Amino acid sequence: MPEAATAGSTFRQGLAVRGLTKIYDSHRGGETVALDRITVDAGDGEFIAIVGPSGCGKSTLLHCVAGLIPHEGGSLLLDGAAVSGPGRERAVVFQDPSLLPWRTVHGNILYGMDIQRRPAPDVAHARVESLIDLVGLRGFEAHYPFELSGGMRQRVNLARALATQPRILLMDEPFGALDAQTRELMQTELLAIWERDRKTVIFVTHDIEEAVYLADRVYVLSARPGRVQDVVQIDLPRPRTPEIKREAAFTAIELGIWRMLQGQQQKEVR
Amino acid sequence: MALVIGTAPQEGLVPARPRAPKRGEGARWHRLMLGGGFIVLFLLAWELSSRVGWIDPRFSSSPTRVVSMLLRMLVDPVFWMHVQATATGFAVGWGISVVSALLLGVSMGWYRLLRDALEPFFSALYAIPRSALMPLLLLWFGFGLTYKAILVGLLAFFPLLLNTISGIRSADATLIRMARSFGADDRQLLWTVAIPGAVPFILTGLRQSAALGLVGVIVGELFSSSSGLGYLISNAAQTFQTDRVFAVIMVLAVVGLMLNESLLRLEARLVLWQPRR
Repeated sequence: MPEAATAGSTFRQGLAVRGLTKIYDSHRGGETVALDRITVDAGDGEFIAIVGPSGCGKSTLLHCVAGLIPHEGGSLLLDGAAVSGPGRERAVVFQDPSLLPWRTVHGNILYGMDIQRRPAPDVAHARVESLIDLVGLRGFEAHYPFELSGGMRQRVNLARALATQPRILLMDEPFGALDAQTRELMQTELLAIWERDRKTVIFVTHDIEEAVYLADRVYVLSARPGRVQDVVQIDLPRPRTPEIKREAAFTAIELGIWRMLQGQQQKEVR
Repeated sequence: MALVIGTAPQEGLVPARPRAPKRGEGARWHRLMLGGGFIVLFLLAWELSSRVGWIDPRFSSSPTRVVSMLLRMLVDPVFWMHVQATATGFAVGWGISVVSALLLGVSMGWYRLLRDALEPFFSALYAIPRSALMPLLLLWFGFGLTYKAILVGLLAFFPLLLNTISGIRSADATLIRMARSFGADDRQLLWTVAIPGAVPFILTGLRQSAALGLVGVIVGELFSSSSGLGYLISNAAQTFQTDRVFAVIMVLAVVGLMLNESLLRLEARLVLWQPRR
């Protein structure tokens, strides 16, 4: 594999996506390139955001990284070694809360640990208890998903992913469907949680402000085929609070990314 | 029946849970009054027309005659022997069909190969009016428990099989994907996602199959048998004992209602997780 050589030369601790290509067979028999040679680096403890217009394949990219769908070219490396399929070191927070309707909040947070048959049941239950506090769902442990608001469902979704103690958290527009206030609250809570244990996060969003607010580095994707158009380092100080969104340094970065995406769209219209 | 789920601290965060006990109770009262009222009216009209002589009680009996016959039957051990014969035929046939329909339904819903192999066969069998098989069944098994149980089974099997298959097949793709992201294998997907999701379908299938099974056992006994409630009906009809016919029909109506009601309660208990309609 030629990728292995490339990977070896840029070896580092963490997750690396190298030249990942995803091709779909289209209905008419031809092929559609959804992702074209995507390269993303997520070193240990880094918060990476991926932004792009809808249809750029950013969710597809995340699902490839999660090992849920195969890719046609390139490789996925963890600490320099190729990985395929889902693994315990990665956990996904889905766009749709994807909660099991017949499990309570407690049961849903437990689910990933159930599937992986670890840790021991008493440890698992204790972990659920502390996660319920962490995501602010105390008092709702025995509630079923249909009794929760959208924001609460996403908290369960997040807690379930954290419960398996992954090294890497893959987040697929988790706050996209929430109202503005709830979204901002969830962003800030996510940052607080991240500050505590500094997991590697790959966060997909179409919201530029969200990407800049959360991430250390933002990958800007173009649409059809999805390509990495630019990589923007966000050197804003941490810990960040929502006020930072009004600062000039912040809005300047945001505007820069917005112009990048805007330019793409105009190209597309023409 | 009130569903109580957990105890929520009343915070503004919770979307107001659909709380309608007042309206629900009112609606229930309303239904009871109207529905019950109509039944009472019907019984009164029946009694009256029989007393006045508009209808001939020898053919169509009357509520008081049915009730007095019923009271006499309920203390007659022979009647209970017939009840037992019917109950056994139903229980054996229904039990076997439930177990086999669940096993087969889950397997056919989950494994495409099995579904493709067996679906044409079952579709063909389903298309046959099952009562057309009765003479053949009698020829093979003679009349008795086996014949009855098989007839019940043939009728009760399909609604549960079909509901179970579609329940398993409708497994939510986003939940399957979520489970796979945690590394779930095929067996775990089946047991933690597909089967729990199929429970509401299975319960609907159970209710339909119980109702059809009851039809099966009675029709089997009407057609050919020497015991059971169906036999009682046909025997009483042939000897012009219409009071007796109606009394047995009343017993069957009560049994059918009870069966349906208990399965509905089971449903309410098992699917606490569904929003109330």
